[in-house]
Amino acid sequence: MSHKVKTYLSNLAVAFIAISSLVFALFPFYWAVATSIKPNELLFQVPPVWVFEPTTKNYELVFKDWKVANFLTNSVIVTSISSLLCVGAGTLAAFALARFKFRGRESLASELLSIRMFPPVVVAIPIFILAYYLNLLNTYTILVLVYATFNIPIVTIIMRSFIDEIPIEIEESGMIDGCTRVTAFLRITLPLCRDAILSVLVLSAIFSWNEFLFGTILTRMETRTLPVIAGQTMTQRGIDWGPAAALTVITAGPMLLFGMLIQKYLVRGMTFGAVKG
Amino acid sequence: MQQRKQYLTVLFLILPAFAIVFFIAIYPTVYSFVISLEDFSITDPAPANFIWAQNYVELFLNDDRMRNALFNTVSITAIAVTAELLLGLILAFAFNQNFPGNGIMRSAILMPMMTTSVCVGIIWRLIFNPNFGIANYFLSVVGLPPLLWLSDVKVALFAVSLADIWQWTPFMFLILFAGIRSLPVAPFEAAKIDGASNWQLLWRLYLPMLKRVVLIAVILRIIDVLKIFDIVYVMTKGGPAMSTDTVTMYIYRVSFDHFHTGYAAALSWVFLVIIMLASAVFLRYVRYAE
Repeated sequence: MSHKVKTYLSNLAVAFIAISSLVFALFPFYWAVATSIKPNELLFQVPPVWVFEPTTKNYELVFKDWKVANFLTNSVIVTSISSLLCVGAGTLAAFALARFKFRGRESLASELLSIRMFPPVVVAIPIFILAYYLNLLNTYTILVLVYATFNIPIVTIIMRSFIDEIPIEIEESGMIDGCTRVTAFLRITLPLCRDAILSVLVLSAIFSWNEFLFGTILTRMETRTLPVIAGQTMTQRGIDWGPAAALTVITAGPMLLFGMLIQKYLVRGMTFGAVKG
Repeated sequence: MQQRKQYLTVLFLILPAFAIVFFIAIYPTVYSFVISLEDFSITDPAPANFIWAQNYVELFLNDDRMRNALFNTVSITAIAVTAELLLGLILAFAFNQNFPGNGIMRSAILMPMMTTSVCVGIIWRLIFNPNFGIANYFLSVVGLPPLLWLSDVKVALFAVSLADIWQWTPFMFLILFAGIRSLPVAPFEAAKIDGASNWQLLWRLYLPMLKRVVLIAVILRIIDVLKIFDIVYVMTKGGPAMSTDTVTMYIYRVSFDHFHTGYAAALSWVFLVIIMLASAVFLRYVRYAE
């Protein structure tokens, strides 16, 4: 085989892999969106109807009859408060771990990481009981606290790896100008971490928004979040596929858009700083 | 004096984070161990009795469902992580070539990993629907008989794994791609000049140099697939005939359907130990990184 033919074949292979992976990755999204805007009478046709007049009926139905606006509000409230909380608390802890030498520092850091590995279902019962005794069942507070807990380790570890990369000398020069260590950090280092903070904020928002188990066991109708409602459409007795697909799009859509914003930091975020992208 | 002030500062900085984590994660976990030694039930008003390790004895000696759940969990993990690793490697090498649209295509194939897991389950349940699902239509197009994807005992486990593979292959790809991009160029050029074949490049250079990144990605995936819950809950609830019942599904049922709270806590602790062993391995490799 000549060199030219070989290059041609390998280009062909790369093109095939790239295009088929793209189709495999995107087709399910297309299918969900298509199902959500298909007229009901075409939904169950085999072979499927590819060209049709789109309808917004399913979206109108979920907002009107299923009151999805309420659950959307719940999701937005819980996600935003818990993300702000965990990024605030996590960044302070990251500062301590990055800039101060104290006994037990490294073991503290790895304790934190192992909490991220916890299977949520393991603490589901005790947290349920805790929430029951503190009268926190069916409140935003307990969801905010639980989501913050699961995100604090990630935020702390990622922020630490970012702070570690900023030379401490710039804080020391600030301290000569009369700042304390903490104000030097807040005024000089923190602004330099703006992108990193934004990315952990988005990352923890994605995790909180997508959470399902605690959303199911700790809430009743008033405080349910979107994934819980979406999950409940999958009943044993027959599924209303049109509205269920609409709800899926409403639930998954926002975080897909957010996720695109932080692609640059995704590698580091998803591996807790173990691999730098 | 200086020393003491520094300790106070550290304490003040880590207190919010650790207070929340202690309150919501550590304390409940310890409390759950106490429950696991009792015949406690959250629906039973009678006070619980301390029964020593009876729950654990029962669990290790007599619990076929736990054994089944453990077997299924390990099977899904093995299937999904193997497929994700292979596909991830192929994709990473393909996208390492320059071609038009590379960047935007890479962004697009990352989308599944950002999708709400519950929605992943719903979407694949829609695709696998036995009556009008598109999966069976595609099978018929290539001349294959339809499958009962989620209600055939022999198929359901693979169908659930496929949903996980769809969602998380992008994660594997992303990390491996970052790994390949950060490799030094010189050894590869030297090997090419010496006439090494692509196959030799792959086995002698790429894979050994990527070892650490591959291990990190694989261990993280193993830990996460062991915890798989949302997708199973939505797609099969552990059925048909318990063939997709995972450890997390089983613990959930014992906790919130049967209300055998003490027993569920014992199950949880055994599962926790398994996960912690896996993450101890991960921590070792993370430390190598620094």
